[in-house]
Amino acid sequence: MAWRLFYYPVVLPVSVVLWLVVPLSIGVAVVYKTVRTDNLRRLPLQVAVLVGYVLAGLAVLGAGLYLIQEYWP
Amino acid sequence: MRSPLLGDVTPMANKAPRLRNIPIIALALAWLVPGAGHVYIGRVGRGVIIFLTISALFWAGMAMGGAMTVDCDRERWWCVSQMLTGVHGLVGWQVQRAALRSVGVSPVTALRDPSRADKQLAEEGLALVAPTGTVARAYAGVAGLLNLMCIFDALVLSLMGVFGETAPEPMTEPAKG
Repeated sequence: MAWRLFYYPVVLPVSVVLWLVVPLSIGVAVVYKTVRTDNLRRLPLQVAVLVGYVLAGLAVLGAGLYLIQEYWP
Repeated sequence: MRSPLLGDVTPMANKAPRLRNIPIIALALAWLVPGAGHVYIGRVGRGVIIFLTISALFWAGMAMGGAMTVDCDRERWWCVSQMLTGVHGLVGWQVQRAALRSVGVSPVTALRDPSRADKQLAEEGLALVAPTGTVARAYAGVAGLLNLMCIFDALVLSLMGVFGETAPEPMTEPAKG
């Protein structure tokens, strides 16, 4: 049977998987700020700031865990 | 300001018209169609943004993982969170059921003999394995958890009798002296 979207899984290379956290973070930030913000006009800026915080936090967490795994006795 | 249809709907007002103040309807709509609860309580812009974002996340997960993304037999906790997207989760579940039937696996077999079901799914190219499975289920599951937050928001606002956008905070000048 021919390949169909939403039916057959796609094969994701491992190198791509890490980058998929970016659109997920954007989605989380958009919904969270849509619920929380007082003024929707400020939404794009607030989303951008929150995405920055999330990605920076994940990067720091990842770096910390990498260092622990590499150098912990 | 009075509307002929809704009564007192002063823009930026917090007073809810009677028909827009039934919490159980806000709850049901918010679950069934993400964002619909916010539209119901007069927050149309927010409802549209919520609908588009949660739908995009869920169907991005389905696009990556295919029919087995919503797998209530083996991935129950993911399934619970995916079902929080309402109609999206239900459609995803039906897609999974249809896929199982198409490869000759009954729901009972999938539950009682998962190894046989896995084998048949793998033969048909439908088996969901890491890392695709992890990412796909995370996308669809996170969409459901985000909708849970929106359901609570719509419910609480409805219980409080809030209708429409709240008034923006007035610009206050700093006190002199």
